[in-house]
Amino acid sequence: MKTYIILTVITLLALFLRLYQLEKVPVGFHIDEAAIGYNGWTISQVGKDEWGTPWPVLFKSFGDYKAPGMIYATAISQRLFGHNDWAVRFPSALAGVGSVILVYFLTKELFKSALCSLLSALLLAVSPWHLQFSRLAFEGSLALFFTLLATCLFLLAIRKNIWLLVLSMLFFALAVMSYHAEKIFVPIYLTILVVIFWRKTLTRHGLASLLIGSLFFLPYLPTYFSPEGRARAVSESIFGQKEPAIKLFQENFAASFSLDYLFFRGDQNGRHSVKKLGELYVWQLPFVIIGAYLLLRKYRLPAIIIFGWLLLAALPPALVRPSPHAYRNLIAVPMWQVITAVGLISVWKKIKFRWILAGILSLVIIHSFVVYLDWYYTHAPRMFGPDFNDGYREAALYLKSQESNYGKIAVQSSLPEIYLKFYGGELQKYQFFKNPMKYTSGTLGLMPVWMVSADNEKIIKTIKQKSGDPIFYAYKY
Amino acid sequence: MPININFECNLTTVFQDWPNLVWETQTGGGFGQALIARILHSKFFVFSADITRCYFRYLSPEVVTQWFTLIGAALYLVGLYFLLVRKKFPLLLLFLLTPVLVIFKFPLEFFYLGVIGVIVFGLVNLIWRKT
Repeated sequence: MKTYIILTVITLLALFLRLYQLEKVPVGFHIDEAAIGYNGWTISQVGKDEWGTPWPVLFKSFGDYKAPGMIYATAISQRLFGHNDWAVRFPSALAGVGSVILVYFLTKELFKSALCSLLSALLLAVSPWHLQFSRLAFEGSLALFFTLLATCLFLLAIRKNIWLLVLSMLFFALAVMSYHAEKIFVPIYLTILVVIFWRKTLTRHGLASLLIGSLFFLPYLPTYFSPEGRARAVSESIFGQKEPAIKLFQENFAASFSLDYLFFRGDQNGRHSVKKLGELYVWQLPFVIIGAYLLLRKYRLPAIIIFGWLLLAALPPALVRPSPHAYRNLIAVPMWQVITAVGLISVWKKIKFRWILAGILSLVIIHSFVVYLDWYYTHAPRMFGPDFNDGYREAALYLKSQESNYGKIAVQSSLPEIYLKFYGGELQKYQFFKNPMKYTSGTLGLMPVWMVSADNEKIIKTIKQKSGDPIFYAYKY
Repeated sequence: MPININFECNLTTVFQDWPNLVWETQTGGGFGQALIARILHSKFFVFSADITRCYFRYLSPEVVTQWFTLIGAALYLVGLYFLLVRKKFPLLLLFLLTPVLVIFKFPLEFFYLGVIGVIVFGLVNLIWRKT
């Protein structure tokens, strides 16, 4: 009972951290979020994507053919909460909270320890890596949720009822349908699980449930081989580059285990981390080392599952550029927390003056967490606004508000059309251009700051980023 | 980005980075609330984090991979594991000191010799375990 009360508190903390100012932070609304949101909206309204394809298995979007999971999730969310930024980000946040709960159950299945499970869940709840992607309408958070759920069900099937494998396979299939990186991770991981537990899985009932469960993969299977399904991987592949693929693969693979990336600086893309702190907290480093050592020494089966998971999670970012890539490597995040929890508990059990350690460690942990929150809410929105397309939403909303005043609106293509689609602009009024053109008098133009001199008298509105830097000028011809 | 973008890491580069990192973290690019920022990002924390980063950067698997390939990096981790299992603490300590030498601007070769030692130890122990 006490355990579940603590788990509830952790869940509420996770919920608060993922929903607080969700529509405002991360600042701006990234182009992929706008695309996912708009496609979700059209699906929820007419059952078609932005290109008119009914109920697609892959969404063409910008030609990058997005996985469908997140888009359908936002369709439901927008149906419930309306067509707005918050509703688009909500499924990802909810999946993040769900992942925190599932990590508890997964760790419980692996170690049969309530303390270790609660600690793992707590660490995931406050993980900068996980928070970063739970607050963005990207596909990774949802895919991670499905993978954790599928793994929990798999282990439960082994322990209790083998027919639960069917359900496990359904969620593995949904994970694959949620994010492209899972297309590599899930099949290999599933094979490893089947082999590890072969005494149960390769029985008559086990095979039957696996066979039935594999039917869930069928609708998505063609995307493994179609040019559309491989479009994203091909465009960023390590193959066909100047340097040999094997060299790039090795470097990329090892980069996912870089201590600098994990504990000190994180992914250097402002969308993927706050850039000045690691993907994990620095204080986790000694406990990760101790935890990893103990796993190898004492917990063989959990070690295979956890290290297998971590190694496989490094595969998708290893096959494409750039690496390390916190988003493509997101699937790894719960396992780092579990290893930390194992390390922490072992130190706790062995040390003599444990309350002194607890006091010092609590201060360090709270300090790290507050430093992270300060970076995330105070500094990052101003420093890394461009990484989130800060100012694009404001530009689109401004243009929309001016539609009734102008017959024609000329928009330089720095503001992608998808923003006007998402925010409900009357597209027939808009004309997109790349280079400056001559328009008839009375046309409203929107241009990036580098195209117009700031002291131009025809500027009627300056669209600024959170940092105060101007990004667009509205210009009256 | 820190000034030291090539991750060349020794005492000089850490001291070069320090003022920049302190300025950056305390001001957040010119927008932070000074008092809170100074409490949260004190000089002590920034310096100790950067020097720790510098130390662990040498021990990181991707650095070993650049020189000894992924197989070398795997054997390096195996070697570290066996150093712990076999309780060869003096050897382990000696190896863990090599990055400190590099931080104090001794040649990088000291560190790589240490890595080679760990790899060989890992390899020997792997073979020895099997036979």
